Amino acid sequence: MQSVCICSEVHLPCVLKWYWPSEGYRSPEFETYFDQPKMYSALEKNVPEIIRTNEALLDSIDNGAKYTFDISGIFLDQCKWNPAVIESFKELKDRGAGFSASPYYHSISSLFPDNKEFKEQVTMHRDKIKEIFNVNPRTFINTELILTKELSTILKEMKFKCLISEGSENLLYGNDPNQVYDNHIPTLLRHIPLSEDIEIRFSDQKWISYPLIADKFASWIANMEGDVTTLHFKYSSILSHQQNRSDILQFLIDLPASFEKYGISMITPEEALKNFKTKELPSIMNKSTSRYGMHNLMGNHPQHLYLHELISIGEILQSKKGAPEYDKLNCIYRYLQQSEILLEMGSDNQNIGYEKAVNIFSALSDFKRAILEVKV
Amino acid sequence: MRSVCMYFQLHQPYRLKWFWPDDSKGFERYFDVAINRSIFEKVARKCYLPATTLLAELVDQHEGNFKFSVSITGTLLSQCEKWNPDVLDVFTQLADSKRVEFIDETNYHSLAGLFDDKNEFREQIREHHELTSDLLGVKPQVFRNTELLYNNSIAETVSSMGYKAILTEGVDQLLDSRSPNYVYKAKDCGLPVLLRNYKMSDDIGYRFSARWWEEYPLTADKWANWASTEQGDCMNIFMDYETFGEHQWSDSGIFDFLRALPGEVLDKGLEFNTPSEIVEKYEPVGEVDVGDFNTISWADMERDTSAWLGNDMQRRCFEEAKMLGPYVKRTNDPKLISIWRHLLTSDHYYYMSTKWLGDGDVHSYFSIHTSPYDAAINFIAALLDFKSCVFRKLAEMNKE
Repeated sequence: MQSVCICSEVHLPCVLKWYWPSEGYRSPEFETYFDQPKMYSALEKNVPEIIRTNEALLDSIDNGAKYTFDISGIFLDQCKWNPAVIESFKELKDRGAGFSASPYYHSISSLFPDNKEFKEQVTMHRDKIKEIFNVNPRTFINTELILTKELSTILKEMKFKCLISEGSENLLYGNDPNQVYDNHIPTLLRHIPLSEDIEIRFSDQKWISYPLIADKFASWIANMEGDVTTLHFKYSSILSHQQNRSDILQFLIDLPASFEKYGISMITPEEALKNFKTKELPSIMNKSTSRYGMHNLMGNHPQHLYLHELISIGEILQSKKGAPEYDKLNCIYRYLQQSEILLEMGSDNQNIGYEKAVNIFSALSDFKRAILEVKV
Repeated sequence: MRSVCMYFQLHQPYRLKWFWPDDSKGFERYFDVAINRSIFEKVARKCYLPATTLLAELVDQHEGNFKFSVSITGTLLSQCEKWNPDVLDVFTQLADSKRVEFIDETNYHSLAGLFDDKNEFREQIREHHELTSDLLGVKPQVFRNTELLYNNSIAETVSSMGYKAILTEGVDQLLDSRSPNYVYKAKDCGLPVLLRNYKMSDDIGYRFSARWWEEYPLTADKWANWASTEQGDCMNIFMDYETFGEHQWSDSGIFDFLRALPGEVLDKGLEFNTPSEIVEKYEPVGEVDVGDFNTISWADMERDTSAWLGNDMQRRCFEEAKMLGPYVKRTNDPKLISIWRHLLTSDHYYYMSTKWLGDGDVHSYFSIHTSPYDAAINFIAALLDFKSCVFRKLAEMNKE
């Protein structure tokens, strides 16, 4: 193995309230459906750890690491309460960190039959990254790493250079994720086990490889075939490992030197395209996937219904464009497209998923009612 | 014991279909005609036709000494009209015998009695009264609420509508060591209340074919003996009509039991009376006081509202349905109003119950869904869609 490309998703899910219909039909405000105080305190609580993590990442970069961050629009908006968080990401940028683009609202809009909504959210996000960090993202990482048939065509039109998606079984069919694959734009696929070693297992004391140190991790990669290993994990997992008192920060600081020892270079997605020839993967053009495959996102009846309703609400909303409350409603509509809402209803969540789905449908039905009441 | 007062409830809901927002319109967008029809036809064959024919024979045979009472929900009557008028004919035969008292309830077997505002409840009762009178030529004077749901304000409403009596469950805590075998009166309004003797009722309705039961097999003679030794004025035996042939299958001997029952009861020196006769014959001996937050019913072990409103999904769906009411009515669209009323049918909420221990099996027995979670998500999905139909209609009306 010659190189490693590390990406991390920075996002703060916007939590739906335990919506209670008996309070009556209300004006559709963000706070009617979403729990802003809970989001605020979730971020507030994590600020010291975020700052500490970013300081460690700065050290890691100084040691030769390269990172690409996918910071959601929702997260960036929440940072208005905590500008220090933005400042610390700006510092990372100044020292060489890269940024990728994604749908602004961490949405599943790429699953809509009409790609207009998706494009708007991607453009919004790209503009926001440009505005804050003064960089123009060339790499695209979809919400939950979703890959659809049309995705790379749309991204090509939007002038993206690189796409990162999930190295799931249903896509690879035994092929190796460690290649740059040919698509309408070159595609890197996440190496699931190695990404999850960092994301999930790192602080698990029962894990056979616990404690994971950088040297061990680098040696595993050194023994693998292929051009580039793509690692993608949630930034929030770094925070939770710290809460579990695991020394994930030291791991990240040590990583560049360990990779160097084994002759592995750390590269950005754009560098991966420059350095390596693309390979064919026949199934990439006609398969859909997402983090772990589609089943936990679009696997059950409530999820199908929810997507269907979102699409139908989008159509109604289009007819209300002239209304003064349009922008406000459109913003709520976009928050309702967050992947977390669908994941919550998933069958992995057992019966709780269905109970939550009843809550979510109740909130959605109120929102749809409110839109239908808008006079144009 | 002097009197035995029997009451049977007859009901079929319109079950929801496995909802997907397709192009179908109106009632059939939400309700599954094929499944409802096939269940109706099965129950008609196993229970409604044979049991009613037998009861009519028994009424004839005992020349006025065998009497009982029934209530038939509007949803079931409409299914009879649509799918098998023969069933309606046998019911009419019962009504014509003048020995069978017909009782009113909400037309839709609904939970409307639990609304704070009782207007919808009243309208549904009136609707049932008119339908029963149109189809069967009888004018009921006694009331029973859906699943015997009862509290002081339900009694008050029913009393103000001029009914002579109300039926409910003989819940232990309510009786507080008093016997259910007397007439009571409702707190404040004074409406006579007949309380179900659940022990003697469930011996037939629930335990008849239970092999684990020490009294198995139950004979009419044995049951009549127990009845004759009980203390009190009247024994109220209330049960699902489907006991005869559906809950207890024909091969359990339930029809033989029923055939022998009137003779055995009469032989023991007891008489049969209908609810109206009971309240004319016996004076109330005490008061029943059921606060609105302690509503009782005949369902499950708890005998309260928890079979329909026990979990979060049920309460959420019920609130959603209830809140939509005033908006549905504002459309003045009879089709929308009818769909909404059918969404208030208690059965939908019963299917969502997650009480698996003890009597959860009864919930699943009645449900066409594989789980209460499926039932809940299906209901809320249908309701979401229906709600948008209502608001679309209102938006159109605003434009005009």
